[in-house]
Amino acid sequence: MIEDKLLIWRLKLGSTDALCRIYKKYKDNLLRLASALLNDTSAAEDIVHDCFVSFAQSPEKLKLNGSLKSYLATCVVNRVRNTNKTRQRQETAGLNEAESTLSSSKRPEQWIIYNEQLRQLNDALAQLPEQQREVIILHLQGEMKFKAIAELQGVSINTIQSRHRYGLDKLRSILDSEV
Amino acid sequence: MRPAENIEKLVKNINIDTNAKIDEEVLGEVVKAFEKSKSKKTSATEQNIWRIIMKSPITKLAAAAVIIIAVSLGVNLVTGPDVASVVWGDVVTHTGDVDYVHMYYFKSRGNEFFRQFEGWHAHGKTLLRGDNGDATYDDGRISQRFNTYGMLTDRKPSVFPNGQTFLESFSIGLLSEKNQQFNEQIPASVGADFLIYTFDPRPSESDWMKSIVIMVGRNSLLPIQMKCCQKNGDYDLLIFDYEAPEQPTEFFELPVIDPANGAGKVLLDGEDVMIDITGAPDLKTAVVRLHSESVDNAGGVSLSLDVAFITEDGFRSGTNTVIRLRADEACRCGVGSASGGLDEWPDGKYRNIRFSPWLKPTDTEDTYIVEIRCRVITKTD
Repeated sequence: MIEDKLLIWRLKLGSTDALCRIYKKYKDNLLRLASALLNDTSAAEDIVHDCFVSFAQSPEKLKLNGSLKSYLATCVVNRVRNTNKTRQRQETAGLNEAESTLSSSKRPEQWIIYNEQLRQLNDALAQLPEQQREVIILHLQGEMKFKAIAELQGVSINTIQSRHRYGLDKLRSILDSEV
Repeated sequence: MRPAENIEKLVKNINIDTNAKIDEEVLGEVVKAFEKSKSKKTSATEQNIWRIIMKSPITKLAAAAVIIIAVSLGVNLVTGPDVASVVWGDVVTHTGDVDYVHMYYFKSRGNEFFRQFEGWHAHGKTLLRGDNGDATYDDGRISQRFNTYGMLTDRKPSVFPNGQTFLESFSIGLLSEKNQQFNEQIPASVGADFLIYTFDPRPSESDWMKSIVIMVGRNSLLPIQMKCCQKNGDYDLLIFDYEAPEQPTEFFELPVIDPANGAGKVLLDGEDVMIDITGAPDLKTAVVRLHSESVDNAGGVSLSLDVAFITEDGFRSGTNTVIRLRADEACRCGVGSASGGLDEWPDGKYRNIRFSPWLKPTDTEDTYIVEIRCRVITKTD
């Protein structure tokens, strides 16, 4: 917490070194988060890239109410939601395939190197309803508190806890069925 | 069936690897965006700090924290089983060798730090830079503060009066050769690397302070961290290191002091003096009156200064009647909405005039030059 406060402060004063440290500290976590939320490596990489670029463009406007980690996680979640909405529109318009082709041709090399465990888990998470998936990933991987997730999703803490519980039950059921 | 907690661990502990080459590429793009934004960056918004500081119960500590200490690492090693019996007086003795220090200073309010500073001290000179873009320079003789716009806002004697050292000042006397009260105190706890001393407040601070906890390097016997806890739950946190880091380029190059927006000759206990204001949009005139000599807390003679402003539209602001200045000093002041909503601006909108009067003596007794630096603050600033 203190370290993050120092980093933010130095960043606001123009320290490139502070920016690099923030990037190195949180990029893996954010990539994991985006990847789990989207189950699409390319899109996850783009989102984390865009989040950091956006973050670097206006550090002076940054006002943290909680932790830097939660702030960055929320940025990722918001962009994931936008991506999902765009996808839904494109699917309706029959453009999804074209976008996928474009996305994969943009960057032949992958930023995230998938391991089998992550792939299995992401596949299982992808089968959960979106809201349950978001709660589980934000709470367990993003280490966000239920209260913060409730604010993000605009529902009560009880609802978030229920989504978390039902989501875990379903995830367990899915993973058990793969054994 | 997997127990639920195993599923949770699985999700929590999953790790990914990343392609180092792409990692570097992305970081390069992020840094490029950052550098580009820096070149476009405009001055940060100045916050209404003067009023907060004036009202803060920890003004003493804040003022003292302008100081950063001088420390060198030429210290005796204190190791072995007797470390738990190292008395506070030994720490005080070690700090006497300090010649350089770098410091971070955080002021908490509620659950967050509302002010942060970074400071450097070397060879008797101190620079303290705040997260608002303000900077205070203390050369051991005069302390001068510049706000984020580079405007001189405060000028007063050094915060190291009578040769007082950094630690004496900002530990509120705890780290002073003259202080005998706590010298026999031993650490409250001893860690692998630190000794922790906890002090109760003295009667003079007991109305607002709860405790001071100082973490001292076990080998160096130099303060590493100091936390001053208040009764309301807020605290000040200071972190020190004594290895010379890269100093800011402005250490210790005092900024050029911009010309005043207006200046006028003012007679003690005379009439109101109208001072023309230029270079401060919306402001036309400052109305100044100087009166009532009085002996202040520090034993010096202070003068009272009343200041009001007249805008280009002819509106006269409220009058600030609480300014106390000694000769050749300047201080941050304000009139308008921010000082309690006393002013009824014609358009009903938020306005505050920030200004800094500098009282300069002349060859004639009872006559002074009052320099005014000022600007109007609105909600959009």
